[in-house]
Amino acid sequence: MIGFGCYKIIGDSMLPSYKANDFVLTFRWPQNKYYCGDVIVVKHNFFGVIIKRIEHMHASGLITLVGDNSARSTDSKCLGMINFEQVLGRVIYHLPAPS
Amino acid sequence: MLHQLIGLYEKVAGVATASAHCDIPCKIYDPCVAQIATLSVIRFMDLIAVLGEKDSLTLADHAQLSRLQAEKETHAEKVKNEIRVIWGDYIKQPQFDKYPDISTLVHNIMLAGSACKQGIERGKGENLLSLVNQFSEAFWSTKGVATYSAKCPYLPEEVVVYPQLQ
Repeated sequence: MIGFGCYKIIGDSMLPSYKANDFVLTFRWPQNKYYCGDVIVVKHNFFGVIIKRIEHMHASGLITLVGDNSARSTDSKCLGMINFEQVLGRVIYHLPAPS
Repeated sequence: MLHQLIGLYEKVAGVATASAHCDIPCKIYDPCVAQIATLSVIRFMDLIAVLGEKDSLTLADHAQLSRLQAEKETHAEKVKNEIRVIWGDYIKQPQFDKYPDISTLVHNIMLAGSACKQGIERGKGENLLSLVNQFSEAFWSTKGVATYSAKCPYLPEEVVVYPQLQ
């Protein structure tokens, strides 16, 4: 599955990089095109569709996520590891909401 | 302007939302964070050892040494905190019944973590990793998840216990 996605952000866990009401455009690259630090949109089994930053790519292919705003983000321990099938895409364009 | 256009499109056709959510008590735990922090500790010890092989240190070397030592202590403390949280929040009577020595293991991790903060000897880091791997095996076992050991594909290339999730 390769394709574009457009999402509106809700919540504050990615401040200051991304804030509520920003729009992001994503593209689902092949699995070997993701790196630590990339911001991705994920379909999480428990939390639904979320936007987070890749904290670590494991040898097993699993991914650990983290929010930019550690004071307000559910941390990677709570998010657990996700697999590539849950990745909806990497952010390729960020359209901030007017301040 | 572009944001307004997409906002208009959102009202007409709808746009999916991506949640940057926060503060949700989820009760999901994973010892992998502690394992990665432990690998970092060993890596910092290795980098400190490289500096130790020099006859004399430049100002830049001293700055690098300060950073490595600070990060080593930070990550050793992170290991201790991650294990403490799992032990305190996840491990309950059923897990104690299955692993009656789990508290002793956690206490040993606390001691080994402190030893890594105090010292620069690689053996102390390897000991911490061995204990954290034991904890990881016990943790995944309580969830009925098999584990396997493999060398991490990056420095310090130490053996880590991973969950067999597929």
